[in-house]
Amino acid sequence: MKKVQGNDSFQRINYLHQVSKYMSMKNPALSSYYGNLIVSIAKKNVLKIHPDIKRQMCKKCRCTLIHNVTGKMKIRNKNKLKFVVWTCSICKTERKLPIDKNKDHTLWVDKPEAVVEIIN
Amino acid sequence: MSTEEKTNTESAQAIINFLKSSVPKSEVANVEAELKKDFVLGIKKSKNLKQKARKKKSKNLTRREKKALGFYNISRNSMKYEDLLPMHLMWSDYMFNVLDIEKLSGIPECYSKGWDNFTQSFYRADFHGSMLEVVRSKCPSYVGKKGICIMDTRYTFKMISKDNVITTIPKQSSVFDLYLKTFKVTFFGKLLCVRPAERSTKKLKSYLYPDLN
Ligand SMILES: [Zn+2]
Repeated sequence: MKKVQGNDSFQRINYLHQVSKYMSMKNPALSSYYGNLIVSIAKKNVLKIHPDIKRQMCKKCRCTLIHNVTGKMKIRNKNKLKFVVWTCSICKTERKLPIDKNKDHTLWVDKPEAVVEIIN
Repeated sequence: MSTEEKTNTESAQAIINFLKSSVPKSEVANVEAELKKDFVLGIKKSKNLKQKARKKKSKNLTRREKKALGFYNISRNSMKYEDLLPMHLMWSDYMFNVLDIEKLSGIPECYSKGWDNFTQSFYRADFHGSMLEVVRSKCPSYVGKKGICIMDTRYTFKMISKDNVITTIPKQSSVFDLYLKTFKVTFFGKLLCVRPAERSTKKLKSYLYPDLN
C-alpha cells in the first residue's frame, strides 16, 4: 500500500475541524483556538486546506461558522451576480463567495484534471 | 532568422490558445479583438500611483483584539463535563484510526518492529479531547487529577475534570496516563514540551531513557 504524504496531518486537520464545529455551539473561543491550530498545522507542513473546510471558517477569527449560531448567511445581488455573504457574529467580519449559476467557474478540486491518483 | 520567427509565432499562438481555454465561455470570441488593441497611455506611468498605495488592513486578529473578545480567559467554571464527552468519543475513534490499532491488534511491544512507527504516530497525533490522569508530579496536589484535555499549549495541558472545573497542569514535571478505550498509555509530559502545531513536523528519538527528575 502506498502512503499519502502528510497523511497524519490531514487526519489531524479533519479531526480538529470536527471538534471546532462541535465546539462553536458551546464555546466560540475554543472553536477559534482549534481553527487557529488547523491553519498553523497546514502552514507548518506546507499543506493545503480543502476549500470546503476553509470556507466554513471565519477568515479573521477562524471560528467555524454555523448559520444562526456563530454567523449569518445571506444571499445578495451585486452587479447582477449572486453572492453568499457570511457575517461572523464574533468579530463581525464579512465574507463574500460567488455562487452564480451562469458563471462557468468551478473550483480546482472539482475539476476532473485535479485528480492525479487515487490511493486507498 | 526564419526559425526564430517561427518559434515566436508559435509561442504567440500558444498564449492565445491558453487565454481562450482559461477565459469564461462568453468571452472567447473577444480574445483576439482585445489583443489587437494598442495601449498608448499604458507606457506612461501615472503620477498618483504612490498616493494610491494605502496601508493594508491586517487580516488576522491582533492579540489585543483577541483579548477584548475574551479568547484568553476560559474561566474556571465556564464549561460542562457532559458537553465534552462526545468530543472524547470522537477523539478515541480518531486515535484508533491514526495508531492503526485494529490492524496491529493491540499496542506493539517495546522492542518489536512496529514500535518505532507507533511512537512516531503517537507523538504526531492530537491530544485535544483525550482522557488524561496525572500519575506523578513534582507538585503532589496535581497527582490523581483526571479529566478531558481541551487545550494543549507548549508547557501546559488544560483539562476539565468531572466536577466541571478547568485546571491547568504543567507538562514539564508530570507523568500522565492516557485512557484510550481499553488501553492505558503512560507517557512523560516532558517529551511533549513542543507547540502542538510544530509537533507534527518534528522527529522523536525512537527510544528515550526516562530520567526521574
Ligand atoms: Zn470571525
